[in-house]
Amino acid sequence: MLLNWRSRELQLKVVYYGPALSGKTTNLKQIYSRIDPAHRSEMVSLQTKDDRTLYFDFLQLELGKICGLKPLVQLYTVPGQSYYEVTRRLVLRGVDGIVFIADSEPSKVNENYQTWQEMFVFLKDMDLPADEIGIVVQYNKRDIPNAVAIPEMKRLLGDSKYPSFEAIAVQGVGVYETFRAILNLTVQRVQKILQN
Amino acid sequence: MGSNFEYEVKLRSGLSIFPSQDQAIDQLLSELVEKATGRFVLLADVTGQFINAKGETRKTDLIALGSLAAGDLAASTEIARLSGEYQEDQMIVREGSKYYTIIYEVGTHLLLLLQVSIEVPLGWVRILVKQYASKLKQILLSPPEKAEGILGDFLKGETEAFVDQMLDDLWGEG
Repeated sequence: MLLNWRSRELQLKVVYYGPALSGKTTNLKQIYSRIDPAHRSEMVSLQTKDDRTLYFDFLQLELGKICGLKPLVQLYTVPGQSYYEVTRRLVLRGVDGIVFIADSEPSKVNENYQTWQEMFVFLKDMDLPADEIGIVVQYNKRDIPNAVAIPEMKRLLGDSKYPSFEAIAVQGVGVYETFRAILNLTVQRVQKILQN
Repeated sequence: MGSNFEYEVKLRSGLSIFPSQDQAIDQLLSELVEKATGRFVLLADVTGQFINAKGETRKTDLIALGSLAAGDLAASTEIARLSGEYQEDQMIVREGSKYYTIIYEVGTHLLLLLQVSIEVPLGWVRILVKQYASKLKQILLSPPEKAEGILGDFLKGETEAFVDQMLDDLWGEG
């Protein structure tokens, strides 16, 4: 979070986090394609030759005014493969809100769990209390025939205290709802921090 | 809380830039780019949030540049740490065919990116960057100001309705 009192800009950082190929970049691409171009930056992607995220994807949105402040929301993704652990930690620096993208593929159950646990370890390492960060969970790829049932996914992640949404990000389904939820949660958390 | 109450705040996390600090930063960056005969200078926080820039910036996507510079610095710092070469105030020097691009860690919160012609002596530029980084650090150490009523509406407001309305307005079919 960065607050510039003169320009009344409030910069917020939201990170889309999750296992490899769960749909983090897809969510950002959907947001990019649906937000009025006058209110967003170009999307920056640091990718490998085969279009996998190497470092991060980045997009900034200007949302107008909320109660006298101009929020600028910076959206990041992390690379999902397990060997990019260090990079994921770097991208989380200074995060204000996190969307955890869980993959509904049965073969991804363990990876979802490991990445979820890893995220909280990183937050703790960086002295970022999870309770002060907005966290929303998206269960993506709900259209695959053998998708893991939602109650089972919730049980595995133990995420009952976080808002969650079902999605088929590649079709844009659930992307808006997830984004709106994390934005509201993040703004409310910042409001609470500033009130204190 | 009235509409013109005086509110004093220092953020527990993140960075808060007060009007006098913003003005001082503005002046320092202008001086730096002029003294170094730089193409442009950019100041961002280490998490990638753009703060200010001076010089020839019209053709540059400063927001993306801020986030990439932060990514570059974070990766370089981590490389230094893993290879046992870590020290505070990391500096990255990138030599291009026309310009040097220098990224420098300014304390724990900020980074400076300065681009200068390769005809400018690098040693001179390095000294300048370090000098101005030190001045920038001092600016951020200044105590919080009383800022009149800026946050009043935000602190009292029901933000959810505003956020929903704004997103509805900006969201298209893709």
